[in-house]
Amino acid sequence: MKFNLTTFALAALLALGAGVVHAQDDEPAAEKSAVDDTGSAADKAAARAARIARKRALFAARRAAMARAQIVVPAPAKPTIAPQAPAKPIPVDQAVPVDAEAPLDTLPAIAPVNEATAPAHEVAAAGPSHEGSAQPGAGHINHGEGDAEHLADHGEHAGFSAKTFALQLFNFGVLLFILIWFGGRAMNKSLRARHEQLKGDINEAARLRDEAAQKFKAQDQRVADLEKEVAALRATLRQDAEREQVRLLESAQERAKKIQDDMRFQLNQQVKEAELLLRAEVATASVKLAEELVRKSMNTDDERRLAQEFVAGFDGPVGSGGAVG
Amino acid sequence: MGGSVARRYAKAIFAIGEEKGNFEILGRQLNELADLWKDSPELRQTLENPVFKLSQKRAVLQSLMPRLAPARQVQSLALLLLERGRITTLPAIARAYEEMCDEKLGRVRARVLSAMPLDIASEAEIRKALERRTGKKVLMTTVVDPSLIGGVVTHVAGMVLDGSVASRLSNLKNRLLN
Repeated sequence: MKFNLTTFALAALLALGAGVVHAQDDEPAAEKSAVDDTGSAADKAAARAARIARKRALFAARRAAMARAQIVVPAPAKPTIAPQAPAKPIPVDQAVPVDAEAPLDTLPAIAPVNEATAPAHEVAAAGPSHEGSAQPGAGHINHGEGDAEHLADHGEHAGFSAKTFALQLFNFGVLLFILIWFGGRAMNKSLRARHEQLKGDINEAARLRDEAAQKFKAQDQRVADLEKEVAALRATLRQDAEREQVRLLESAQERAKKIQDDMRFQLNQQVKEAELLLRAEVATASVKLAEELVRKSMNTDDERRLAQEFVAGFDGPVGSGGAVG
Repeated sequence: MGGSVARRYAKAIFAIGEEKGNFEILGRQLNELADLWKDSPELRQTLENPVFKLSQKRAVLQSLMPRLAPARQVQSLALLLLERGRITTLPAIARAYEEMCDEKLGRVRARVLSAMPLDIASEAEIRKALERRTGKKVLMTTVVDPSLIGGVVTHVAGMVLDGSVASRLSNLKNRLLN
């Protein structure tokens, strides 16, 4: 019993230490697995012990059934505590067939065949050790020895000892003290750090979720407003095109007007030049014609008359009778 | 420049003639010498040609002087101009001297252009009219210019009095053009 408790305590301590180490490494999955491992190690140990005990009980029951089915009885074994009567052979017709694969609880109740077997069981159960009552080479005695061990185990499990329970409580208290004393701070620290980390992660996740929700909302709104934007853009483009059309028309009209004005001015200038040229030609031709006429009609009387007019002009203002330079 | 130089020489010889009282005679001889200079290209080429020596030129001029200008002042002036290389200003000196004489004697010279030769009555009328206009005695010369077509053009005392038909037609043409 002491060995089992110590083993269990060491296993629990190792598992807890491993869990603490994993917790300090900030590995939540490892911490969980460590806790699981701690529980599974104890369970495995208990299951293993129960499986061994079951196998032993099954083996003993088979051996006992086979022994009852056999007629030949081996040589009488020496009784350890009290002398045993020689075993009587059982007739074949009284033998009870046993299913080797049937569970233990389904087997029929077997009455003690050999009186020496029962006392051997009882003696073995009362004795301090299983090994002392066993005698190699005696088959039936061996059966009786296995049954005694089996009963001894049942006796230990079935009985309650206050001392043992107190020791167990003490061991548990010591273990709890060690765990709290040496691993409490680190565990608290790691748990607090883990708590803070998880808290931060949760806040970060919430923030990211909010941002994603806002982005999604904005994108959704943008998609919803996309048609309006397209319509507004189309209207703006149409207005710009109309405005550009008006501007181009006005520009073209102004340019046409300017060209017309320029052409009109040039035409006027050309007309004036033509008029001047024509007038000059007319004047030149007229003067030339007049000169020819005067030359033809000029005589001495005219010359005298002109001289008199010239002289008369001297008496008046300068230039009245002719040009004065 | 030539005018001012000629005027200085003319003023100098006019002062001598005025002092001697023969400035009209000096002026007449000076005009004859200037007319010879203008009318004789051989004389101009001889006196202006640098190939000939000054003594040769002087000898040529001295041979002509007694016949053209017997006055000693005119001869001295001609020789002086030859020595100083200003013999070409002789006509200008003669005109300036003539103006000084006219100014001294209260005369004015007029040049009358006409398309046809003027008769004596017309010339007399023009002279009288010019004398009334200038207030001086008019020494008038007449020139026939057919381009005037008709009428008279007079140059007197730095003025031009134009009464020709050509100028009237020109004015008429300008008015038609404008």
